[in-house]
Amino acid sequence: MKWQKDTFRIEGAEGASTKFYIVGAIGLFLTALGINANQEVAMHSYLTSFMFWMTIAFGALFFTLVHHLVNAKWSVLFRRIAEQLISVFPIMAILFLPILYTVLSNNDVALYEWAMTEEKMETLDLTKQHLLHAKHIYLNGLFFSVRFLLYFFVWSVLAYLLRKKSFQQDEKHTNELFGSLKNLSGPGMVLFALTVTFASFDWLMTLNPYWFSTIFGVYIFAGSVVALMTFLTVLVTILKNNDVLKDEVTAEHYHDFGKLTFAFCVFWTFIAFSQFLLIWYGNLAEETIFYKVRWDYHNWKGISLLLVFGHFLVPLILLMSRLGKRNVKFLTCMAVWLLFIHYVDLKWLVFPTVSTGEAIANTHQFILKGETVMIDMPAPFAFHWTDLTSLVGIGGIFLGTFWKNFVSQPIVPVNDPYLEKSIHFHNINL
Amino acid sequence: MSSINDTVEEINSKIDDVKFDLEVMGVGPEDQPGQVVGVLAEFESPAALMKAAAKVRDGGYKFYDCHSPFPIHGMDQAMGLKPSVLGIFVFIAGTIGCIGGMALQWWANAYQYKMMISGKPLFSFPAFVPVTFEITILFSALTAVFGMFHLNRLPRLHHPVFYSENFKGASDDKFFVSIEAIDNLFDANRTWELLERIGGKNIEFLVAKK
Repeated sequence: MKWQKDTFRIEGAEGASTKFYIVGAIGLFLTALGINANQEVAMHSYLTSFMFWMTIAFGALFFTLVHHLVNAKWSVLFRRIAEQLISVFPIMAILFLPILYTVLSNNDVALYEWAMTEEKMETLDLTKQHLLHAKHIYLNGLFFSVRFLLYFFVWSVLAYLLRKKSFQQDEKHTNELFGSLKNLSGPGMVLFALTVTFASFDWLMTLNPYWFSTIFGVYIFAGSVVALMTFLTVLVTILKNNDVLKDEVTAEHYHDFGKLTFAFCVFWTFIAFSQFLLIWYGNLAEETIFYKVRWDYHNWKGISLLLVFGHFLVPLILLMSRLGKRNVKFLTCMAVWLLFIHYVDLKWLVFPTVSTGEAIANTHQFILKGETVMIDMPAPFAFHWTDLTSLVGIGGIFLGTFWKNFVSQPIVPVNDPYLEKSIHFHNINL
Repeated sequence: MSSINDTVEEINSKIDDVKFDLEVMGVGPEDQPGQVVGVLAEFESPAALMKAAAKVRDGGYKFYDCHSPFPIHGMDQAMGLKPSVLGIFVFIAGTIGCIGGMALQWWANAYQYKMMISGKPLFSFPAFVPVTFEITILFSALTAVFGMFHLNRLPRLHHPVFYSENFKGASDDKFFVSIEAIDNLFDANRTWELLERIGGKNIEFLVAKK
């Protein structure tokens, strides 16, 4: 990797993206073998990994939009990284196809129970049947596919426009271009909020089609920004260790990474707790099931507590002080930890719907609107080898695409009027 | 014998300290008319002010201040101001608020007057979190505001610079450095010379008026 300081380009690093692609392809191949062996666990792994990388892309889209909206200056140095991260949406749409396939082939075992055929639905108990029928207008293969296309269309178009204008700015900066990026970001943010909310509903919340929470999209969004900020911290540290942006990025920038990571960890907790408090207080069977399966059975209580400590208390205490945020090594370690915790958070959302296949005697009953509902006992939280292969597989494709675009352009918006200001940025000395 | 002298000296120095604190807070004895309470120098630009501030700092002065119509980036470093201790106050107050808020609810609801609400346990942690959170924020915010007042010696109704007519421009287009006579290093001639040397214009003594 050769760093061209005057043009802000990385040279001689194109080969890395091919390596990422090869590793990704191997990972995906192994995951396919896993799906062949145990489709339920492997598809849940696949969805978790898919969401892990998607949330980083969500965070990057948010970062770019909010950067333009608030006329941010400190983050100009990192705008291009976020812009190259959002170039992955079209390829992520292709990686979504296995998930879409399970829905379209009425496979209710692999992921979504609501994808079952009409005939099979008739065999369910009446309450479940009623709920699935009631939701059928939204939860059906056709509408699911249409929404999938719509989400990726919105994200890809937003990413395309934001990137195109930004690259034009590299050639020649004009005020019109600068203004049009801001004009695009306003409606873009509204579309982002709506699509991320509904995508979270579609892909994660409907894993249990009887449960619902209106704040769920915000929960995913909060996690996404944590994922992006921590990913950015790790990436910038790796780049700096390879002499890239070595003089430009200082402790001041890490301080801001730390502040945003801290803020969104706390925001995540705020949203997670708001969701929990209302469900806990309301104490309605159809809502409490979400927390019951994540607390009462097997080792799920430990994982829930791990999230409370790892996603909230640990970063709250360690990142509160200025010292923690300005120490590059420490903040990078925290970022790696939070990326791991973010993965655990997604796994915590996805995996309790893997059923154990245990006999009816081991299932647990709930009374819902006067009728008994059978709830499958969740499988214990455990590491499965497809977790790793799908994470590496999707990650390889994701990072390969990102890296290929990243090294093909200057890695900062070279003609941005605020670039100098971003490089010499200082936090106030509170 | 020497121990009595020491004690007397100690008491005297403590009285001086108290007088000094009161003076700094602007509630000390009124300045005597005609008394020199400081020196004021004008500078042409924010950059000149910043350079001057650094030189006054290097001169060892503690009771000096820079006045400009708008905040200037980097002034804190130029004046050698240390990071504020306010954050520590706020952290302590927030912690007290957090523990106190939870304890208050436990005491009221689960200990002193046991009351079961909607079938929840007497000490129902989730239900107590919002109030605990709010009390933490309340304690932190009040400490931040009043701590800031204390550290800035506010409210303060008078300052030596107001003896100067020229100083009225400080809220418009002029930049000043003032050095107060309460500073240990203050010496009318030498302080004047210092300000002259570092490029101050329209230097004047701040003389107390009736």
